[in-house]
Amino acid sequence: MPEIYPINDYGPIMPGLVMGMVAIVHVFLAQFAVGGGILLCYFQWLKMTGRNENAGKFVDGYFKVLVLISFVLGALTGVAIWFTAIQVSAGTIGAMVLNFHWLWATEWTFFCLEISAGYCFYRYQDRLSDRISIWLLGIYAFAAWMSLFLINGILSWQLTSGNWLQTKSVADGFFNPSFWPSLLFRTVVSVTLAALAACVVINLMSIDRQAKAKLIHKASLLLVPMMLMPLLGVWFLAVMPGDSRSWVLGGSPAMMLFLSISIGSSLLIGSYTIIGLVIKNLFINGVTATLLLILAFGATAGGEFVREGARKPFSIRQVLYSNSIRPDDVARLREVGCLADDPYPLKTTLTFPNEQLRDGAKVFRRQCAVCHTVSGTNGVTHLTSTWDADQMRMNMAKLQQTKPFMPPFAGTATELEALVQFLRWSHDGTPKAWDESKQLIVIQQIQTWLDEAGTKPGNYKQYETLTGGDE
Amino acid sequence: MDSVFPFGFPTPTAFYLVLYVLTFVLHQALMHYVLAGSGYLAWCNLVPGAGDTPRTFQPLAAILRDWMPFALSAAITAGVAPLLFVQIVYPTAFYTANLLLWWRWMVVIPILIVAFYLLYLVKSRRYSTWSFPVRTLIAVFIAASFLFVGFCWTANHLISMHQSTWPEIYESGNIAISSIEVTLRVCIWAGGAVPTMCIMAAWQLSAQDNGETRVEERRLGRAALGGLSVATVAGVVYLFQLDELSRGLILGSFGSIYLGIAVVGVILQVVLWSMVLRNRPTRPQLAIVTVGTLLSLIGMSVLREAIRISHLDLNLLLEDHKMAWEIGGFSLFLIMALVNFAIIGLCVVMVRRGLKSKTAE
Ligand code: HEC
Ligand code: HEM
Repeated sequence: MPEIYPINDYGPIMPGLVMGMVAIVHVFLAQFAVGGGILLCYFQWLKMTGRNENAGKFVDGYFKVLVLISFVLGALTGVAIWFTAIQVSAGTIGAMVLNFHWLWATEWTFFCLEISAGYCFYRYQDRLSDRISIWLLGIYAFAAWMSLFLINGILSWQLTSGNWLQTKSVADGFFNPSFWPSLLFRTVVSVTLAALAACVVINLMSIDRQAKAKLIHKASLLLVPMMLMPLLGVWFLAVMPGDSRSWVLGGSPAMMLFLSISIGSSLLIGSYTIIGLVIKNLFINGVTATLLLILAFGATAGGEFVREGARKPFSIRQVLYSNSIRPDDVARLREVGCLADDPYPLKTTLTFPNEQLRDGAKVFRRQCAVCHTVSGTNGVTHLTSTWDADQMRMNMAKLQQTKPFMPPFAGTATELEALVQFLRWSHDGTPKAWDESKQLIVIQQIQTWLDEAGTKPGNYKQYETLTGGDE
Repeated sequence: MDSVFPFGFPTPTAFYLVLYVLTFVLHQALMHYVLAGSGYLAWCNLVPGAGDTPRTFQPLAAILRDWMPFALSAAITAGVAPLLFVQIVYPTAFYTANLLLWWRWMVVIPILIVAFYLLYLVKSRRYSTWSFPVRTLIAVFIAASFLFVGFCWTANHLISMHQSTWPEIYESGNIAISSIEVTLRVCIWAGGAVPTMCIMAAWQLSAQDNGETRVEERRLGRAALGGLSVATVAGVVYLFQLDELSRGLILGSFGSIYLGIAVVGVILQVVLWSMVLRNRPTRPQLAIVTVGTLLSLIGMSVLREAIRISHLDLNLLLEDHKMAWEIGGFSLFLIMALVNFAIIGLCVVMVRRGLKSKTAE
């Protein structure tokens, strides 16, 4: 039996969007922390080997920023992401916890290590020798990167589950096809963010411009790995499932937009920093550095949206649809209906003229609300405003063919008719009177369409040939 | 459920339950320090005392201010582990309660962020230069925030236990939990937080080892005894107020040993803290209080679980636990936990040695 969770009405903000926001902030901060650890080791080494006289002062200031930002915001947005993920799809987080709880528990031990080593350094470094300091920093950086390593395995599994589908082995799920490109990509992003943040911090230090320029030049060395990004990006696209790839690369205008934002911002940062800082050894002031960081935030945001969006219609590929219905469960729900085991009444101020409309609203809540609102953002009444009743019936019965990034309809023909009536009633401004639609012939027609569509997920290839590939 | 916790359950269920309880005890201990510590700091501002140095500027408050940000970091980090295991043991109940509370649950995060930054502010040198009302306002706000966060966890916990109320809570949006039950639970953990904080702070004070902290040691003793009284009275009332089934589990073979452990812990604490009121505590005495505190924490955590188990039918979840149990990765966790906690120990040793050799120079 699948678990049925209460579904909240988040109003015009869709849960996916909220999730995206929290995720972006957290990913940005977490990657800053990972890169920051590596960068600090490097500067501590510069200090110890006498390569830069201000490196020690920089390490001091930078670590304070790191502690204030990553220990507080980083840690708590991490908890926030967990809580938000539960709101968005408890089923998804439940499946991830179930399958990878030991990896998560392992990550937790690295998290403890990161906090402990970091705090030892933060508290006592001015009274410790350089040698002990660099050990503490090294442990801190290693632990931080290891949590990236571990979490990356779980997140990339959501998109490319690889052999795990057959073997169900944790190792197969963890070292899935997108594991390595994704890990390397995130590591490069991490040091990039850390280096850009370093430029901001250096500008805030009270040393002369000459000295600042020297530090900036050292920091900019960590921007060089950015040159690998296009390569890693292509690698990542290559291992992505074909349908996700074609969706990102043109199937969905929104995804294209996010991808372009991400690539565009990265290119801007990359060319500016490589040419300006590394090759020409130019100075970069605080404002520019901050702007570059904001651009980097944009790039992260674009990337995370693509990562979130590219999984549709799944939240875990082949395992769970975004609406928390399991692919294996669709056939059963076509028989028994999706309302039979839903204990939650509707939470609404609307007065429904008849029970069918109430059922329709429930079907919408269970199957569509995770990606759509009724008439707000991505509102179905807008999307279908030009369709007649039969078009709605057919396109929703064949939902996975209408758009392959939607899951198949998982309910009975009667429930689908209820949904259609509910949407039409909403479109017409929820009038007081509305006739129930009970014609047998309509239900039979819907059943035929449902049978034609089958219970399997849609196929992007087929969609491309049907429509000629254009949107 | 005629066997002692956790032996009546199949191995997987017992295993995850024990892990949950152990990690929860860790979270609880650190959270108690944060909760009661911030409470003490607020109280110091409100009741500065008649002596030359206001309480806010005496060593105990200074130590607490100094350690509070780290303690919160540690409490949050320690909270992640039971957060993971609670999702294995009671997934549906935990998630549903989260969803039903929705924004009332999510506010925990921004509140913690604000309180966290305020702790750093309070720790900064600037803080002591501010006027009394500002200082007091901040300190009280911080303490109230933590109290509220704890309340949210209690609300979530209670909702998760009462499955039959879920549809109604969903429809009406009203949190249908008994205010008596909430109040008693809050009294238990808020009262119980005080002695836990007191023993940790007593160790910290004794490390300073100057004669000036005697007054504060006695203050800790009085606070600990006060907190223990509140928690004990609330605990006894709660026990009688519970339904037949829960009380049966606690008093029966399932929980009575743990009730005994908790009581022994409380007695140890009461006796030793009473001695602290008269004489300076020795290290062995502090060690006994520590053991007593741990015993109460463990005992109470199991009893807390007994109440939940009496409400939720674990039998329906045994299959899920078995499924989780069969999934690989435990040995990786075990090895990495040993290695990483060893490295943490190493860091501490390294820092201690480093500090010693610096002072020797
Ligand atoms: C996994 C997320 C997801 C789910 C679940 C989902 N949809 Fe969609 N749907 C989308 C997206 C994304 C679009 C594209 C929106 C656009 O083009 O602006 C879309 C488009 C549509 C369209 C317009 C199609 C067209 O050809 O223009 C309709 C109608 C629609 N959805 C109805 C539904 C209904 C009814 C349900 C529930 C039974 C549902 N969707 C469930 C994501 C989803
Ligand atoms: C200072 C902040 C916090 C305080 C004061 C606090 C307090 C509490 C209290 C009082 C309880 C027990 C509730 C009851 O049994 O009635 C509890 C439980 C718990 N807390 Fe915390 N907490 C804090 C932060 C956190 C954070 C950030 C996390 C997660 C990372 C967390 C994880 C947990 C978990 C998992 C439980 C057990 C829940 C259950 O079993 O139902 N806590 N907390």
